[in-house]
Amino acid sequence: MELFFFINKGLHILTAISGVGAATLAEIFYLKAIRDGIVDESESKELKITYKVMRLSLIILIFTGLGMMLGWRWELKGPEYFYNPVLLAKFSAILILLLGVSLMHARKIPIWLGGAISLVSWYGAAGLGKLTEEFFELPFSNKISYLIIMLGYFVAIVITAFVLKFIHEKIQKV
Amino acid sequence: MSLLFKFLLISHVFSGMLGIILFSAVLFVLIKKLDSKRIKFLRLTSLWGLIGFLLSWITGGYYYVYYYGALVKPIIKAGPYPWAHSILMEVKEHVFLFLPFAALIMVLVVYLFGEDFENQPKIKNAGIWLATTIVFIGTAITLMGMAISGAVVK
Repeated sequence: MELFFFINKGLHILTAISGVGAATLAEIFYLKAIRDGIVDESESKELKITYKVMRLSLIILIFTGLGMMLGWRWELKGPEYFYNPVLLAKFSAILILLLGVSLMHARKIPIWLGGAISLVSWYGAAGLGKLTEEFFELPFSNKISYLIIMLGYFVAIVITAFVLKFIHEKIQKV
Repeated sequence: MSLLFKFLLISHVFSGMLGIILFSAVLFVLIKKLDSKRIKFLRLTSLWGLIGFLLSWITGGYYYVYYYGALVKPIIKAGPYPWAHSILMEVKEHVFLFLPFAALIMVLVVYLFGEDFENQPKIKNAGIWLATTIVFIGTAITLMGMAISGAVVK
């Protein structure tokens, strides 16, 4: 079982890295693609592959994340791990990511907003994931609540959305 | 916890999550314009999603009856978070009964009316709402399961 959890955790970290990479590349490829106003076949292929990597990373990330939690359950880690504000914020970021991607997919929100949600959620979830198990060892952990983390997350989305919107408009004017 | 119950718990969690992911895929494809290739994908995916939920149902049920009820429930009820059982688990176990039936209806809708989705937007919209409900309930149940696991203290 120890080997299973070791591999599971390794896979979780690797897929988080590939997801963050794919989210970043998706944004770069998209901005590159819309520069001339037309998304040609090769650009569309690049984007499709990147989105596939992102989707696959998210699926593996969810399964390996559940695997890690099963390990905590067997070790009876209890509320210190499961009700940890960092972990709850990470879950919230992933749920918002899924909602954002769904809305973007259904064309209910603009691409720059969907891109901002995706980027911030991937980077946020990866960073929070790194902090989860070490959170209570941090000297300032008693000063950080779930609400503070989520406030920082939403501020980051707003800033990233403005930056992406600005870049989109600038590229489309050229 | 014996290896059997560990295996049952892993199967319960993973097959349930597989069901949610597959019904999310159903939802994403349903939103798009459907051709015969996509209808075939919908049929297969919804069927595997239903199988996932059924597996989760059986393994979770066995685990609940023979392990959770006797050993875990008393620990939670005596601990600092008794609501994790009295509210969350009670909700989870009742809503969970409903999920495979909702999934079965989705499978039947896709198999019986899949070809007519584009001509009958009312049926397609109903399918979208049903898939959304399944994904929402599944996600809520997963989160409740995590919260219940967190209430088990040494």
